[in-house]
Amino acid sequence: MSITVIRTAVLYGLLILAVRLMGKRQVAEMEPAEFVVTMLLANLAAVPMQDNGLPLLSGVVPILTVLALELILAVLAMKVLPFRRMLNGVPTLLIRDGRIDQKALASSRVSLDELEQKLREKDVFDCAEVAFAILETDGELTVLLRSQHQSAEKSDVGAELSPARLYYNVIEDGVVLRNNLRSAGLDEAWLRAELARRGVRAKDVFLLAASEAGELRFVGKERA
Amino acid sequence: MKYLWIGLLIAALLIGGCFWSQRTINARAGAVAAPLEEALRALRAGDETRARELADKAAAEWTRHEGILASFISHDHTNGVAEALAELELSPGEELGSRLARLLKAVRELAEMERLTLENVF
Repeated sequence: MSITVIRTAVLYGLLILAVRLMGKRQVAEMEPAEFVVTMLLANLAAVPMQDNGLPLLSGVVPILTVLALELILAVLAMKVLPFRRMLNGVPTLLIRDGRIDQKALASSRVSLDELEQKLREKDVFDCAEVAFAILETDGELTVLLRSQHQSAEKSDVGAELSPARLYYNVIEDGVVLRNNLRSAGLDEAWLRAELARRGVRAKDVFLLAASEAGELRFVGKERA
Repeated sequence: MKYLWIGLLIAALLIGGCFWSQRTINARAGAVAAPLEEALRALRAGDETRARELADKAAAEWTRHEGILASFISHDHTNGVAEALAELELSPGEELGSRLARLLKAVRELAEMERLTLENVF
């Protein structure tokens, strides 16, 4: 049993490393090649995890091979447009000015039901409201509504505009995050003063977030 | 570009590892096969005592190399060889020849499995 535990831990660590190296896209919407890689990795690791009769290398080597191919192909796809198109395909315009392009729909092998479902998921219940609908290479449908059906923005109604704020977590679960403190343009002297003002210590704080403009969000730890 | 280099480095390590593993398996399986071949020749020459000594030598070589070989080859195959070597010790004289031949074939197959041939790939 201990052998199974060690083998599983090794393969698990290798999978985590592989997914990290392949980047955030692997856990978000996936291009076809990325989807294949994700499925492959899971299956490659599972068999030697369960079968102690197989050498551990029979899991490690295929995973490293897939990882190497994915890293090399990802960079090639980034630098070489024809290669990227070959690997990932191209986006397809399915709706223009409210009219469905039936040829494009057929060539994408998307049924009308599926198209309507994807539109409803975007809160669109009438194709006539759509200026452009594009089927992306990862299977997502991107929709731009016609102007008269778009929501008004602040600038349209003349509302007061305030700059967007980014909050940095400077304390998380009692731990001071010094990098975030610096990113927010603050320092430890400020933090000590702020904690003293609230009568708490860092370890009593569940969350303290600060913006560059000095706005704060404070959540103290709940007493057990 | 950092990730391209990482990918190329891993690919280079894998390719290097392929050559190294093939050489290692060939050498180690060969070290076990050599005394077995000699044992067969001795048996054909009528010298059963010498054949058994060489079979023991093959078993000793196997003990030396089994760990590394089991890192590359399915344990079903390596366990099969280990069992056949153990049975060889107790083989009566008339069966010694056939068991030696089968064992030699099994050991050679360990190296064959790692060779880059169309048969192995497909």
